[in-house]
Amino acid sequence: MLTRRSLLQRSSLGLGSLALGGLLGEDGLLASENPLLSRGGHFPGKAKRVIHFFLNGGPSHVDTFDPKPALAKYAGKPLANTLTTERKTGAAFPSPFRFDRYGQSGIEVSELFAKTAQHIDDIAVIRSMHAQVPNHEPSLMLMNCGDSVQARPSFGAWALYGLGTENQNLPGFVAMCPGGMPIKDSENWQSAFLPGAFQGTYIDSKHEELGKLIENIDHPQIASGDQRRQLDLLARWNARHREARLDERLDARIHSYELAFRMQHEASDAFDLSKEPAAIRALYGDTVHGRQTLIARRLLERGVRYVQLWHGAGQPWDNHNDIEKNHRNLAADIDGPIAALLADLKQRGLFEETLVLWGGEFGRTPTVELSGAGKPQMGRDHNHYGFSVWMAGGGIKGGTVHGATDEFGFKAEKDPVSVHDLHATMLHLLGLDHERLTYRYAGRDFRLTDVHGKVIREVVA
Amino acid sequence: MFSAGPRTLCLAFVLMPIALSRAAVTPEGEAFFETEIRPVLATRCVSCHGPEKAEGGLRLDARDPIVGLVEQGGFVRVIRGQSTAPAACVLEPRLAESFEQWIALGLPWPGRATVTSAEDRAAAAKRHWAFQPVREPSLPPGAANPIDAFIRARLAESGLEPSPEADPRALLRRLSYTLTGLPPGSVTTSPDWAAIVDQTLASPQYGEHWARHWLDVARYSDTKGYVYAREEKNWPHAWVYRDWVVAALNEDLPYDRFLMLQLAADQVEGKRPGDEAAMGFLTIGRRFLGVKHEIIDDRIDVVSRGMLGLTVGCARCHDHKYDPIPAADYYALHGVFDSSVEKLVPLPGGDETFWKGHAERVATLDATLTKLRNEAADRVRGRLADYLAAQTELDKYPADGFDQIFQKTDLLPAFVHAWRDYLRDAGERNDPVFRHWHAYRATTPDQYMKVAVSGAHPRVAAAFATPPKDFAEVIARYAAVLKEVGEDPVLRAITHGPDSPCEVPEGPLVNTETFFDTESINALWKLENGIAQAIVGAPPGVRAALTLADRQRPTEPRILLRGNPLNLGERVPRRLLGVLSGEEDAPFSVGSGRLELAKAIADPSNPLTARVIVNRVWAQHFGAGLVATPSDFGTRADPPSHPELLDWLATWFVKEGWSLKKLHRLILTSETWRQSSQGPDDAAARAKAVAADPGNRLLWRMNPHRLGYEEFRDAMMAASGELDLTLGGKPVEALKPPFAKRRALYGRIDRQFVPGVLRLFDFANPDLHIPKRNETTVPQQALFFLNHPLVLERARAVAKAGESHATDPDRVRALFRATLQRDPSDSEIGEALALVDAAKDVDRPEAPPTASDWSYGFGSFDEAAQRVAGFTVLPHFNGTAWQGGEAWPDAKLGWVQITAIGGHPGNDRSHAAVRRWTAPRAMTIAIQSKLVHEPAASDGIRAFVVSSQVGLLGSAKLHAQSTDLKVEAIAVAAGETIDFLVDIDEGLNSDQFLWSIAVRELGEGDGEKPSLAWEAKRDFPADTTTALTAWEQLAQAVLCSNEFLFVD
Repeated sequence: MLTRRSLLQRSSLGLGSLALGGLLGEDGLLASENPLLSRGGHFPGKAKRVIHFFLNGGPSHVDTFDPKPALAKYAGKPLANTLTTERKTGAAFPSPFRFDRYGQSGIEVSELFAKTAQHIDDIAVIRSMHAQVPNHEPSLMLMNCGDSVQARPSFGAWALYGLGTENQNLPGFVAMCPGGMPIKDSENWQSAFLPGAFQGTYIDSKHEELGKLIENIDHPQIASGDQRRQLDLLARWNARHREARLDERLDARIHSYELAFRMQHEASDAFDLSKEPAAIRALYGDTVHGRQTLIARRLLERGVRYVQLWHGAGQPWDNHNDIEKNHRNLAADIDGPIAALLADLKQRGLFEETLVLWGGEFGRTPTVELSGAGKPQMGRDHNHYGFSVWMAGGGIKGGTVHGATDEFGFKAEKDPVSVHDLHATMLHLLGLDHERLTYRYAGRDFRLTDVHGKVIREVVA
Repeated sequence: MFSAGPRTLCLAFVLMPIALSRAAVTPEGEAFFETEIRPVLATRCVSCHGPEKAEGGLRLDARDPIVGLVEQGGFVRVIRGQSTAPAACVLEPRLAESFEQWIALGLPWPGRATVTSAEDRAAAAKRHWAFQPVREPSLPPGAANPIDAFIRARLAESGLEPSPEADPRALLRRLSYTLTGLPPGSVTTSPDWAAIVDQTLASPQYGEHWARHWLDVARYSDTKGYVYAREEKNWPHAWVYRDWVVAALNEDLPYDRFLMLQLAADQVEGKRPGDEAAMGFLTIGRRFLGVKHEIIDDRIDVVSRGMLGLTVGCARCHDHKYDPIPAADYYALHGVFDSSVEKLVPLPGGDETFWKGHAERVATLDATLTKLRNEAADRVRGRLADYLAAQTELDKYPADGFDQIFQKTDLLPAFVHAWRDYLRDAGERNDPVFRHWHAYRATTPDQYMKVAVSGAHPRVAAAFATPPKDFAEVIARYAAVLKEVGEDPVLRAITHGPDSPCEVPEGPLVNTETFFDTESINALWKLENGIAQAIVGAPPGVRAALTLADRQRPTEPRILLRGNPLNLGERVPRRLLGVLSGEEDAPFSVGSGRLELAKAIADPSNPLTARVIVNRVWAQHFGAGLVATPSDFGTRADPPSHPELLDWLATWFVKEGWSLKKLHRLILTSETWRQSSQGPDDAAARAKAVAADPGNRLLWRMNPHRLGYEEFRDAMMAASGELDLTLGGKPVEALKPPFAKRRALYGRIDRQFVPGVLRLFDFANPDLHIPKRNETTVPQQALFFLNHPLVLERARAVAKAGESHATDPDRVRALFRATLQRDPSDSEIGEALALVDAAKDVDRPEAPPTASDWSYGFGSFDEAAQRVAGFTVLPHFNGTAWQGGEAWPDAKLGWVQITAIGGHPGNDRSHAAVRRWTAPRAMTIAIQSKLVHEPAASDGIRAFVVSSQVGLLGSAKLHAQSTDLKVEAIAVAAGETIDFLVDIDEGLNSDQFLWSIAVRELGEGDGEKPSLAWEAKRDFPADTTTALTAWEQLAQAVLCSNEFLFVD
């Protein structure tokens, strides 16, 4: 049984933070209970929840948030510092997209994210990210779970472990991906050695019917009084069964039926976009990504801790060929919804406590990809040496650029930021110390950041 | 965090430090300190109260400060948990007692040493209880069953008493679940408890249930997890391993033999046909994209934690922080597994023709492999200068795990690294051939001319008769020498020998693929997959094992610093963990050493093996182990609650021939196991026990058990009498309709797609060795019981099973017996029938009259005739959709499906989804509809609106867009049909669509009949199939009850 006691034994969150949540049982014992109950972290965090736009496949930083005019200068010429990536690349390949300065900060953003860029003064761009290898699978694992190869809990699972979730009628960690799963499938939101309740709940957001959106939420007789009567009988029998027994788990399970009953209704409500005014629906757009983003906002405002929005099944942003057309289409899917979300969070007063993260598993080469026969493909190969992500809201210092890649955008050069650093920073914003958020498994105290990671103070407000 | 509050600080000035002044340390005192005190200080205290961190200003690494605390009286209060100090400072009673004894002895402390040095910690760790030989303790008096003797003695010490025996029904249910994972077959009982235990142990379902416990340890999965598209994802042998475990447990194979076969069935003497299957234990792990070090790490982990309860994996990057396991030990085992390669072995049985075909497929692979290996080696030999030059820029050649796409013309990092290793080894042994190479590498460019080398191989010496002008010339000269090796045996060995860095090393593709270009890898995987897929798809008589076999030349392991394969450290011999071997133990000498490792693990003198399995069995029967962490017996683990009992059981178990069944019998016939879970009858005694030992570590009562996923699924099947008890075989679909009626053990486990339901119910993560499942309670579990199709199906089946009873009360009785193995009370019957009556009274929504004008089928659009051809009604309605059968896609009709709001076309154009409206009378209608196709993948869909009389009324071709299809006004005859048809267009991929359709009669209607209106969504059949009847609702309530899910 995963009681608060066993959580305490395995965690270094410490008694203090849990006791602060007022969770001690009346008898002084640590009663068995739902491990998802909301609790405070190590210190008060600015962010209460996270939304992560995951541009799976790897968006090109030199075509979005990291302008490299030198590429135009050297267009068509080989670059001296061309690094080894998955495939062969050739000459410098200038961005086909226009960059403009936005906001008071004057940060340059490409036309692909012109709508998002309207909010640039609320955004901190990190231009010096780096990962470990130029392959999707390990890089997805690193970005989501902090380890390229081994089965480790994802960021969302760690967040639930550390903080629980604020709404017991909804899953605390939701991963939406329209049309199927990204590569590596549910490993991306796994709980690994953490309890299964902390893993992400996958939702295929291409659907509009509730029953297809969430597993086990729909019941043919919900509308009638049947289920209520069933539950009343169940409660009576369970209470009688409980009388002579010394097992707190029985209470927890009795309680869970009432929670589940409410969840059916609350979840239906959260996913029902017809409850949104027409103007808001228009703001996000009546597209898969518009709806997915709007659902995300409804989940966040209902207290869901972590929402991850994937672009689509497989690896849509993996544009080895014809990046101009492909990146333009992909960005058009999400630029509007992202800008809408930022505006909407602000007008609802949710922005300050919602951490928004944008990025992929790596970036792309500033050099053009070559076919086996050496022909330029007008696309870019994977690049883990340097890439960009940005964050906004939730304690982030807006209008900031942190770090830089080299002249051409191949490699993080100034203030390099590892994925562990990014995770440490995100946990910090949530009020969790990445060195103290540990879980005992296989004789070791595991951390999301393993033995690495440092908080990037420069992007914290 | 050893807190010294203001109160204790004051006391420090009051008490006199006389009694505890330092006296000469006696040998007994020293021994006591070294065995009882120092290990505890080293592992429990000094990390917070030592030189690195002195929490609360206190240090416990030397005698004087401890004396101070003892004098204040605070020390004992803190370790006894009688102060406000943090929980981490409180010691287990046994340890606290030792400290009290030590204080009584005058705190003997040899010399001036502190307990913080690393050597101290290692030494202390070596004295850790679990590394000491198992000793047979003397039996406390007063109980027939030794277990009861130990448990009673410990309870008595704490002033607690055991609970009375549980009632017979609870006992039977407990016994049946703990041994077979199933509810008891009948409610009868016999006075001879031991006979009932034996009977249950003899049931084949025992082996199935306990196999699942072992499969948790063995991180069982039917698939490899994520693999690149080139590799087959199903393991061909996993289920064969699972069946081997079931059979081994059922025949009570001695546990030492059980382990030996799983580690080294390829080598142990006297193995029986089919025993090779046992080695699945090592080979069913995750594939880790073929990265060798990860696969080996997974095997080291499953062996060390699974069989020895040791967390050896920690030593991959550095010496274990807490346990005496240096990195050298990890790499000693790494060498054992690196010297063993996968080998697929056909097992006896199966169709001869199949195996003939198999042999041909293997021969083709081998021939191709030989050819491609030779070509690869020739390419390296053809580019020696390039591979030697690459040694000067190694950073351009990343390690395994950094995947690149390679042409045949590329230099392959794997060969660059093979040369690197070869050259380094040659340097270490001062090899005559590479003497010049290393001499020049060691110097600076301007010193080249002055390097003097003697004793080089004559051909090399000749090549270096004149000094080279730079290192490029060194490379060129070596390349020239190695290009023309002629018949010189020494030189030839370098370019053509079995250890040559030009040759692809021995081993299966998964270990060698990096030595090939991408095209060759794909070709080889295709052949390899052909072999695996044929086995996966073969009838169940065809069985194969994936074993390990020793390499002809075992590898000599090196420590990888920080676990980084590019960062080589010292060489280490392949050998047993130092903490388990005597100082004099020689390195392994037979092949990989795997057989020697297996023997050492299965040796009766191994201090861990028997303790670990005895504790695992105990933990399954009692819900908690004597050691609370069944796979970690290291210094960080809590010590056993009953150390003498653990040792007694381990000794007895080995003496009794490592028989698991005997161990079960001993435990299950004990009064300790048979006591009630509800505590002593006497309320005061119960309250005292709850207060003194709330976690029930001392076992003053039985721990209740919540059924795990497999148990409740099987119980739900058994409740309707439908559980299929067939033993063994290929995996089945357990959580997708149609739900297999086999035991949950046989449900297919795909580690890449572990169903949410399994994770929700704390199923063992098949990627990680799981010593103990969590038992969480979250509302999503309740949602499963309320709404999951499996539970609804079970509720229907259970209700149906009781239909034959004449009276309603009898039907309730039958339901209770089938699910809870007891009769209901009168009030329960009354309550149950009240629910049934109330549910019967509810008005079911009636279908609108317009519903009958629709039908749902498939067909095709006949371009020539402009009509719908071959319309056929879809045979199956699942409550929300019409489709080909219970499973979707259907084996025959494929993906075609129609729902209230849309659907999915079938796999080709002749299986278009057709929603058909039939005119009930002659009238004029208007049609409005909106069709949406969303996915960007695929080529989209085609849609047609077709009248049976006039033909095509409208059409559209859609790809990630929406359109309105309308008909303003059209006269239809009675019986005329309008079809709304969607097909896949060119390709089957993401063709699902949404189509809202409204048909409206124009005008005033027909005389007294008002005008009609149809809506596809509103008129779609209500969910009558999934809606539960009154009795089904009752059955579901029982299946949801805590009484069903918990075992007392």
